[in-house]
Amino acid sequence: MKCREIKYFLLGSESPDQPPAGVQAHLAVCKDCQEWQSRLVQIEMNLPFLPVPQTAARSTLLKRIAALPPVAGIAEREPKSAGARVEMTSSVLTKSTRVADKSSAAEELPATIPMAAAPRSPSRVRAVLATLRSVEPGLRRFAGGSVAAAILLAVLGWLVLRGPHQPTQMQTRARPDPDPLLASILQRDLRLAEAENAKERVLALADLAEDLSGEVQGLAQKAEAKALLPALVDNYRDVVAKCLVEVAKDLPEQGRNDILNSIGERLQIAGRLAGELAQTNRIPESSKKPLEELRKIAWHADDQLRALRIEALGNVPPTPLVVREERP
Amino acid sequence: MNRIWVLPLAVTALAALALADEPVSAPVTEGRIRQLERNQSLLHKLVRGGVSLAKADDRLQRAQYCNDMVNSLADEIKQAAKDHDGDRALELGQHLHELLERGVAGNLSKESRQVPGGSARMKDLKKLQNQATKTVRELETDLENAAADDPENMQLALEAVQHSQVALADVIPIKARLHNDEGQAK
Repeated sequence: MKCREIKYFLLGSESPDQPPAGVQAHLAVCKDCQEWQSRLVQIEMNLPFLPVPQTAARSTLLKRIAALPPVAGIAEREPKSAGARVEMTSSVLTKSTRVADKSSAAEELPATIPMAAAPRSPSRVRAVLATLRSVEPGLRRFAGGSVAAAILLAVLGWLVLRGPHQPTQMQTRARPDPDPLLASILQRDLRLAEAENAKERVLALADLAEDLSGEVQGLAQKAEAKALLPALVDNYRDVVAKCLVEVAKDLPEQGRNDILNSIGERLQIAGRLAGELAQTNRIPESSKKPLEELRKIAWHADDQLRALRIEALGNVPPTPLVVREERP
Repeated sequence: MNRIWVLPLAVTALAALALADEPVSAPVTEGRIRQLERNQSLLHKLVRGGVSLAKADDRLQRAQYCNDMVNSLADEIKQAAKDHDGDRALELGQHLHELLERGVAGNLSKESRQVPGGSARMKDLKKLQNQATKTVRELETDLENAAADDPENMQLALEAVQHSQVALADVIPIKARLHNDEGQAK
């Protein structure tokens, strides 16, 4: 160890007269350091006996503190708060002002000094606001602007790090919509599987036909669906021409005309909508033929059901009340 | 003052009338077209199945048609399991469950109450039950294997299929089953 380091250590030591073993070893061989340590110890020993000059500063300070009013607002708003006043004993003050005056002035101290205790949150907020108010207006604006800029930067940074189109986990796992036509056809099939009579079957078939015609009309507006349309129209033909009319023949006499009338009307509407759509220019050319085909199937089936109604009436010419208005 | 409301009301009524004749269908997007293209064959089979059902008076026959449709669905589900398409497997699995429970098991169950045990018809009924059970078990195995890749959807599809198996097991009443077993022992 060098002499300089030893001296530096001794200066910072609490008790330079009792150095640790490593320092003692050096002191044993270094006469210069030994003498330096002796002087230091002597100074340390005599320091408490140095005279302190007389001063009235302490008593003046205490009087000033005692004369101060309680902190505005706190004492009035929190009168019951025991913690709002802190007992500051004379000993504490004595310790803090030991250097100032050794002559005891404890008798001059007030019993208690009103002080704000550990403030509650509103008080803390008020204190922060008060501090902000005390700042120069220009500086305050600058500080406000800095905080806003920091928040803006943080948000922008978060957006950049997040990535422009990075989907969240939930978006990635969004379940695709089930096929509504498939679900609907299956429900019709279940009705047909559970049907106990011809009426239930005919109504289920009419609903199935409507599902298909609705889908055809929706798809007709898209050129990309041109491969799908003929297949759906074929399905429509299977349901309406090959089955619905057949099953309708099994309908019981009671209520037969009403059922045939309502189904015929639905077929007529389906055919009319398909025909009108085929005449417009808002659909691709490729869709017109399937739509015309659907119209023909629907109206032909309507004609067949009409014939069934007439047959049921025993070849009696139908009255205008029973038979719907003729198609144009 | 009341006249203020006449014009908006008239416009609303006219709009409602204009929209009333428009075909009601889902918005047609490219995704929807792809979905229909993929389901085209299955849709055709289900429509044909419906047509067959409408013409069949016999419950056993209806159960058979439903079982044919179940087979079509099962093939599609197996393919979905191979393609690791859990969403499709789940969607079709739920359809299969409904068709098995209400179409196959429902008709077999009603028919079995009217058929004497040990009769030829009961044998046909039991044969169809076994066919459906076999289809479900095969499908169960495929879904169990696929569940490792997509535990959530495949597991749900598997549960739907397993519930169908329970429905199938309860098709024949206990009394008729006992009668069948006695007949087979003889």
